[in-house]
This record gives sequence, structure tokens and C-alpha cells, in this order.
Amino acid sequence: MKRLVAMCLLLFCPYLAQCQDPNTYEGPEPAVDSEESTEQTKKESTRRETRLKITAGYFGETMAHPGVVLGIEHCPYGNGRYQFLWGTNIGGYVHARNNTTIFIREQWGQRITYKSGLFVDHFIGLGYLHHFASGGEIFDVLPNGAVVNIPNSGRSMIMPSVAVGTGYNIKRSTGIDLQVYIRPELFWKAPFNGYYLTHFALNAGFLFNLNSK
Amino acid sequence: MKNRIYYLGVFLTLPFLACNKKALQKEGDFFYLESKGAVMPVWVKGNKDAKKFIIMLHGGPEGGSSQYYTVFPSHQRIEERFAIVYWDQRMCGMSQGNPSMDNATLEQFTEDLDKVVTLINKKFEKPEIFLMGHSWGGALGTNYLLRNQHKISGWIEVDGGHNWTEANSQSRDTMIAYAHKKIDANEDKQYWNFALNWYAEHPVVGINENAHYTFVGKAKGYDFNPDSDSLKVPFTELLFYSPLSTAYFFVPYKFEFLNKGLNLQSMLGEITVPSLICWGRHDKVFPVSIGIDTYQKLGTPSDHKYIHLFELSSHSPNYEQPIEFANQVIEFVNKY
Repeated sequence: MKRLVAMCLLLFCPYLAQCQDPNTYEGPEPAVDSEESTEQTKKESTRRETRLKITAGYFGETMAHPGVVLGIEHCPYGNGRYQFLWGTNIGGYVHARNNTTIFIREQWGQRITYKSGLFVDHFIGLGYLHHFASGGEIFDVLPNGAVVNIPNSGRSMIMPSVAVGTGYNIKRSTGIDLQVYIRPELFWKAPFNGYYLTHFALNAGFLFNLNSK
Repeated sequence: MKNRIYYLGVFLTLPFLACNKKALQKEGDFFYLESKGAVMPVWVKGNKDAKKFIIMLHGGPEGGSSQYYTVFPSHQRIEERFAIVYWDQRMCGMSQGNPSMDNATLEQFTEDLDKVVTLINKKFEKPEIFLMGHSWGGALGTNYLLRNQHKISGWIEVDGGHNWTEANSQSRDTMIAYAHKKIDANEDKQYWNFALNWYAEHPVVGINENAHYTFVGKAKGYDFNPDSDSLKVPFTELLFYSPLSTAYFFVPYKFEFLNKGLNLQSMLGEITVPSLICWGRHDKVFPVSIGIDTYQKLGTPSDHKYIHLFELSSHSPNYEQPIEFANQVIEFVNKY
């Protein structure tokens, strides 16, 4: 367990990541040429750090209950190897005869990209979720015994989440400017039955640069 | 760019391919009952043409779900003859909504059950309705019959908890006797000495005393033959291809109201509907003496009440001896 914690710290410590010499970096984001002027370096760096990415993926609650997630990912801070990320997602999934859920959330995370094109990232998120009963009509029984149909307007909930993932820039092997990722996550629905409900989900998909050629 | 769009298209198609519903997600009639903040699934499966509907009252209440019972061979056998109504009670199983814990009372559960009965009568044109209560469901069913037995054609109690307070006391005594027996036989002495010390410190066993229930499990008081084929649960199918969700596994609340005491034994004489009492001989949660006493105290005329003790079962003969159990239930329901 201690080893695992130490590994996580090493992987995600921004300080360590920033300490990487950009001249030795050979990842998907090319290192700034050390011979360029400081001015040019700043411009290049700014261009990279403000890059926007579109995310699109499969969102499977308990892996098998299918859904989609779409979003925008923004990197307000980072260098070639380390990125601090901020993003907005919208998504949803259907768990037949249980619930249909749609959500919108903000996520904050960090990503470290290795020379090979592999990257690891993690996110925490907070969002709004709307939960509908799925698979059947809803009835109420009035005190006089009458049965009435209730509209399925759903329930509002908050949606905290944590995710850890990995991915790969397939541009290195295919020339197509796409990154693939797989990101298991835990998310919660609250309030649910007076408390909260924990869910496991698999989020897997693509990232592509909005400003790539 | 074309390539990227192609890859995205392929990937976004996957969720729709995954939408292929499995049997557990499409069989029978499925709907919800909303009551005081709870949205409770009701799933009607089996032979509806017989016009005999058995409402399943699941165990728990903490961690219980009727939908879990659908996978057991006994229920599948019964469904060939009659319809079974799988209703998940408030704050249990796949029940949804945000009801208040203040409403987690026997009275509220009983009111919800009455709404289920009304709903079934309305949707299925007044079939014969039977109740089948397992464990905690035995308490709920008994309490319901004390108020509404005129709406019910028959009662099947399976190791029921209608005398929760006395059952817990007897369960504690049974486990102490079992621990002494094991120590005398020089089997797991350390473990059973630990159990005896625990019981010495706990003169009353509450619903949330996990240690007690662990000892009961170790003594095969839940499952007489834990390795039995009939107890095998298709976890993969349930987890990935059924209505069951993580709600079944993560229950953060406790039904403390049961610790205030529950004993309906003295009122059983008021119940006069045809009844079948099914009990596992080796039950150490609700010992078999409770079942026998229940049969004797029921107010039902003796030619309309039955008891069947399952010799190779503990707390759940419906799982442990599925064919014998199903036969008993089918024979009983056929009579009424």
C-alpha cells in the first residue's frame, strides 16, 4: 500500500514533472528547441498550454450499462510533460429497468505524458445529475384507493467523481492526430435514499486537438 | 480529419450495440410504485393466466431485494405455475428516490405493501393475491395480515422474523450452546472462545451486530450447505445484465427501528387466512422453535394451515431445497 501511495505521488507530483528538462522530452508535444529565443519559447509554450481538446467516449456505468460522454478539455497550465487540466463534460447512460441518467460536470485533473506517447491522468469532478427511473411507468395509490400515473420527471442530484486513467497518442503509430484513453471512475449520486449511492463506471474514448491541422 | 471522424463514429456506435437487453431486463411486467418519497420497482413475472399472484416480501430490510430472488430455481419453478410479484421495499434493493429515514418504520412498510396490493388488483383485474415473506418479510407480511387479511387469499411464511425480539434472544442462546459444543469437541476452540466472550459482553443482540451474524454463518446457521449448487448466484449476469445495481451492495443506512423490539407472536391468533409455514430445521437466525410455535398460534383453522420443516436447510429453504420448496408452495397455492 505504501508503495502504491509513493507511486501515485511520483506520478502526479507537478513539481517533479515540471523539473523535467524540456530539451530531453520526446513526447507528442515536441520539446522547445533550446536554441530558440526566449521570446519564441514563451510564445510556443503559451500556444501549447492554451490548447483545447474535444473528448468523446463511451461511459459505461458498471461498465455494461451504456452511455456516452462528450466534453471539452482545457489546459490552463503545463509544459510538454505535465499538464494541469480543466474540463466540462456532458453525458449520460441507461441502466435498463433501473435508471436513465444525464449529467453535466466540471473536472479538474493532471496528466503526465511519457516519451513513448503513453500518458496517465487523474481527475476529480463535481456536477449536476438528473436521475430518471427507467423501464416502466410510475404509479401512486391515493388514500381513496385510486391509482394514478405519475410523470417521470426524475430527481436532481449532485455528482462528485474521481477518476484515474491512462492513454496513448496514436499519432506516433498511425499519423492520425488522436489520443485514446481509458479511465475507470467512481462517482456518487446524492441525495439517494437519504444518503448517497456509489457507482463504478468505465469512461473510454478519444481526445483530439481542436486546433490541429 | 476524415480518419478521426471515422474512429469517433465507430466508438460512439459502441454504446448502442451494448444496448442489447438480456432476459432479466425485458421479461415480465415492470413498473414503479411511488410512495412518500420512495420510488419502488415492482416486477411481475411468471404465469399471469392462472390469476394467482404471489407478492414476494424480501428479507433484510437492510440489503434486501426481491429482484435477487428471481434467479433462484425455486422461484423459476413457481413462476411456471403462478405469477410472482417482486417488489423492492423502500430504501432496499433497487428502490429509488429520497425518502426520509423517519419513514423507515414497520407501519410505513405495511402502508407501502397495501399500495402494492391495490396496484396489482388494479393492473391485473383482481387476481387471487398471496403473500410470501422471507425473514424480515415474515414480519412485514404478518403485520399486514393483522390489518388487511381480507385482501389476501393465502400466507406463506419462510423463516419469518415476526417475532424478532424473541428470535434474536433464542438465536443468541443457540449460538452460545453451539460454541460450548464446539469447544468441548476441541474444534476451533480459539474462535468459539472468542465468540463466547463476545456474547458475555453483549447480553442483547441488535440488528446491526455483525459479529453475531458472522458467528451464525460460521455455524452454518444461514446456509446449511454453503457449497450447494442451488446457492450459486450468477453474479456476472446480475451485476452487468440485470436491473441490480451497486445499491444492492452499498447500503449506508441501518434499520434501527428493529432494535426497539418487534414481537407479533401473541397476535397470531387474529390471522385466519390459509397459511403455509416453511422453516429450515437448522436455522440459527430464527430458530425452528419459532416456526413451530407460529404454526400452533395461528388462528387459521387447522385444516387450512400447514407447516413444512426442511431438514437440509437453515435460514433459506427457498434457496437450499428449491424443488421441495417450490412443490410445497405450488401445492398450497393450488388449493386456494
